[in-house]
Amino acid sequence: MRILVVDDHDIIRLGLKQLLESRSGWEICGEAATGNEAVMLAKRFKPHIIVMDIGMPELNGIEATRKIRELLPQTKIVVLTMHFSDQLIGEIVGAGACGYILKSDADRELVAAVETVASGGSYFTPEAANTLRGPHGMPASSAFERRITPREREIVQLLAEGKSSKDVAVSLGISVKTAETHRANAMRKLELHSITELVRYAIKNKIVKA
Amino acid sequence: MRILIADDHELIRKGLCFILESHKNTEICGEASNGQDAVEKATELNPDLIILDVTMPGLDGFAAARRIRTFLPEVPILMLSMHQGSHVVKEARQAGAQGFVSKGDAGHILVKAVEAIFEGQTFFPT
Repeated sequence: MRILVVDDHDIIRLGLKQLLESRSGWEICGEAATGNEAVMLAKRFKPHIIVMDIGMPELNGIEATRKIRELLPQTKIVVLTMHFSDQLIGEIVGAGACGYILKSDADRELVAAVETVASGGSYFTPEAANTLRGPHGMPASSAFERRITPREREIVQLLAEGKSSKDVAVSLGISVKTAETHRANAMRKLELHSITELVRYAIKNKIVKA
Repeated sequence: MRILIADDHELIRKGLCFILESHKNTEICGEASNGQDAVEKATELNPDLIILDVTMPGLDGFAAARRIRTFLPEVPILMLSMHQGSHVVKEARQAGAQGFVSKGDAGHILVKAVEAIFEGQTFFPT
């Protein structure tokens, strides 16, 4: 089974490799340190499973998951995060991930998560499963996911990381005018009135690291 | 060289072990998952170097470093953190550490940091 490991910290990628390569028949086909690299390597190696960190620069793990699932619907993705966030669970599932575990539990749960997801199931920590059910037993989703488009989400992250509209345009291969239009639309939909509010929003919703 | 590593994430301890054990003359003599455990294992094992994560439950890395320095003043300490702001580095120095590495850089500079400290130098970001 081919597994792609994605985390911006090489020390964590090493730990993941140690954990996963100990299983017979599991091969780490590649490592990525950013969401963009993950998408590129996923297209190249067509892994069976991707173990994906959320908090990464330029393109976070949720957006990378979304892109990869569109390109490679057969590839299953297990998301790893440092901290549990009920605000993000709906987005993670909405992006197409089949599993969610905390990094602190990875040594105990990652192998089981990968096995479960590889055989067609889903694997979520108990808190994540409860959040997904919602208070009335109905699936939950996040306001962020509902309100803005995938492109607008990408732009919110890049702006919150300190990039100018021009930098955003270059990063995404679009015109500055288009980038500014997406920015204006995202801020209007999220009712944000300044970049400071946007950054605060992005940190609060764990779109970027504090 | 016997090294004690302390981090509350086993994933990170695995990564540290892999990097350090592939370096000649280096042996991981023990692992701790919190600050108190680090203090106890340091007393028990008397390692040549201690690598301490800053953020650990209960006793954090800075407090553990200060305690360890009181009874093992000769054992150098290398602090490790997800964060690398100047205030964190300053606090590492004040806690008595000989070095500081951010986890984002650990994969490619940890060995250099360990070698520098074993040669009697300090290793802090500029």
